[in-house]
Amino acid sequence: MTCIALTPLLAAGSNAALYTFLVYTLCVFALAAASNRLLKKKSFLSEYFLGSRSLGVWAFALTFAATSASGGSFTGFPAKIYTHGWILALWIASYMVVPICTMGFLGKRINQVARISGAITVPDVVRDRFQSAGFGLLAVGMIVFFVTFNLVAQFKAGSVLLEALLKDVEVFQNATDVVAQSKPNIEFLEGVSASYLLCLFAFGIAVVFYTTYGGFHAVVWTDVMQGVVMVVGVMIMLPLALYETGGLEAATREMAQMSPPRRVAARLTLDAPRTEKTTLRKNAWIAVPHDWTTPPLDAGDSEVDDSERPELYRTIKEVVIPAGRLSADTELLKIVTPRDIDQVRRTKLFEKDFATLPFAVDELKTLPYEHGANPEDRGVFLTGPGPDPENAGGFLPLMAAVSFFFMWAISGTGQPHNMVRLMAFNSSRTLRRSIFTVAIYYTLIYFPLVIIFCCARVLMPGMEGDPDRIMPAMAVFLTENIGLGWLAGLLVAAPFAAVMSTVDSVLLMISSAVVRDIYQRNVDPEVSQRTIKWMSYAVTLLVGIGAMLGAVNPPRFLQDIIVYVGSGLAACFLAPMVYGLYWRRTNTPGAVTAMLGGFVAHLTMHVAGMFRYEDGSLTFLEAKKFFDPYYLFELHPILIGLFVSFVAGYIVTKLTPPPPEHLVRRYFHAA
Amino acid sequence: MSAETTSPSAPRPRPEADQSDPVYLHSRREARVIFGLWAACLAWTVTYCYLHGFAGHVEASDLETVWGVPSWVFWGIAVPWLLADAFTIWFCFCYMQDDDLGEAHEGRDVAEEVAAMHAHDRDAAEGRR
Repeated sequence: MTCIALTPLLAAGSNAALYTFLVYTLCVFALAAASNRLLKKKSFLSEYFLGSRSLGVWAFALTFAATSASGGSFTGFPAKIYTHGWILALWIASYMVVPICTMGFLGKRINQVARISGAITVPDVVRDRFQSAGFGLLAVGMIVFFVTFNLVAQFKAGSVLLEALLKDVEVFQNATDVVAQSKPNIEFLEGVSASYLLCLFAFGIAVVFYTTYGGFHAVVWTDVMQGVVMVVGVMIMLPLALYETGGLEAATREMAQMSPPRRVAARLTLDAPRTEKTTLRKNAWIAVPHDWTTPPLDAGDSEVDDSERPELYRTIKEVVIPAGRLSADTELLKIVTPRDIDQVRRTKLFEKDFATLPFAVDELKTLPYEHGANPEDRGVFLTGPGPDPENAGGFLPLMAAVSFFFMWAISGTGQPHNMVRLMAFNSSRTLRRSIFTVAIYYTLIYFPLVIIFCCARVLMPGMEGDPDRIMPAMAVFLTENIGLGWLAGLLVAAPFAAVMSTVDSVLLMISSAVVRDIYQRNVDPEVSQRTIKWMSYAVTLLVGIGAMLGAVNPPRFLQDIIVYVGSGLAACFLAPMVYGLYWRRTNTPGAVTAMLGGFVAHLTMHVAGMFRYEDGSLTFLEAKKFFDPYYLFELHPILIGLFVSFVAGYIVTKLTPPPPEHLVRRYFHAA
Repeated sequence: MSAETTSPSAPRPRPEADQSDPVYLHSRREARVIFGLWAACLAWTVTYCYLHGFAGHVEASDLETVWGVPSWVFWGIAVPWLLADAFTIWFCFCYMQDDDLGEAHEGRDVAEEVAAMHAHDRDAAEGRR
């Protein structure tokens, strides 16, 4: 077999990434061990699932921030900045108020209400506040339904990042070969790469082990460490990115000249048939004429005659030309901006990715690019609504911008994993200081990320075929250019930390739902502490292993799943929780209606997305369109879900009897 | 679901303000201020960015920037972001009340349910006798 091009991420033979990962993992295990000691001294359930409500400022602030910053913040978000440009600053703009909204809206009250009843989980709060076992179970069902999706998606994100981190480490390559040879030939594993499988199990076992063993405090302490890693990673990348582009002014002016690359259906033809099959790997560059790449331009040499520029393409997926055949049809990315072509030529990192055999490329068809690819659209990366290959209205039309202002700030308030953390701080003084801390923390992360990955667009053209890899690729590019390749390990640890901190929290939430909300509160309220303890360990372990197996052949659309889960949970939980905490008149029928109303409205928008009018008739599209929902009045389903949830909850509450007086006294009157 | 015990037609006295839990009252007041901040940021950011940032075709020579940031991003997002941070600092250190959140009654909910369950069992046993 002829392997034409590789896409190495870290310098071959470098073990720096492996050392980084090992040191990092050891720290996590040490924190889990310390946390497990605490479990022996305190009430098991409260300690294991809520840290005994004892979190101080740093622990509370950083666990809150790190849990909210999921894998999406360091994989999906950078990919979107890279693909759509400066408009992502508007997409993420509501993070200016996310800390004060997500912590300040409900924080003090939910903490107090949980203390009154001794609630440990969010379904506990709902069940106790409304004295309704059925409502508690409904809340459990919603959490398990949504969060399971999220857990599998996050496992995939963690594994992909680890794979990128270790791809070129020799030990890892050897281990991958062993796994590839011993992988059973079953349909379930078909198409799953050995390296992904290995990373999934390494990542999964590490997270499941420390979460199971250490419980909530292990999760919080590792979150603190991961939170620090994230902000340090961003703070290192920012000046490096600005240095490489020659400053932000230069980067922005370069972006003004760019047009998005186009996808073309093309036929690749060899100069002569080969006796073995020819494989062209994903992300390989093809230049026509072929000899154009040598010698590469020196950095700074930007004067290239237009006639000397080649046609430049990049593979989007692996292309195989069978033995004895001359050609194969595939899809390619075609670079159309002259400065991008020059940049590829002068970037040493890309040298290694060029196809070594000459190919002729016949463009069969240029695939449509819905918004921003026409010559008159130049500057599209600097303005709204931003380029978008699939939506004619662009990436972020006006109503979508409004929707996303709701999405992050308001839907973040309605996330059960955030609510659990709000039940765990030790005093309102801690809450005040933590809101301030998280506000500064997010300011240091999110706006700089927009700058860094706008610079990435200038520095690393042609990543549109695999944009989720832009974060690790940029980390390697920046550090290798200053001769500090080992630093890439630390930078790639930032997104890895973000995924880990989300996975552990979600894992614990599902586990608490099963042990506390289903078993203890519905099956055997008098269960012994010892049984609870071993059950908690076992369920956390089983859920973790289940999610890991689910991620062996994971669903695609990572960012879409994360958005679906986040908006769905908010549509279900925000209204019942706001009513329950701030409106004395709220009763069980009203709160249940709010939850179900939000769920149904949100789901309806997604199901409706699978149907479109085409040629005058209603057509069912494939299941993947579930994640491309119907935008009623151009509004995101989160707004429709929240609107229906609040209105339905209000109307039903008003039409049904007031709640029992003793509940109002307990939760709304001074003790 | 639990049965509600009061009929909708029965008028009930509205609790006096001085009966209300101070944590509840403070939290509600603070939530209103936070909601106002969110609404103000939404109105400024989306309106400003739409009016100044959705211009379509931009030549590099016509591009307005502030410290390398497109001017619509700078005035529509970066500046309000810093102002929101300043407001957050004021809110946290000058406005938000330090309240006593009370003792945590660990296990109270389960204990109440167990007691109710035993009472129910006792009643059932007595009924059978």
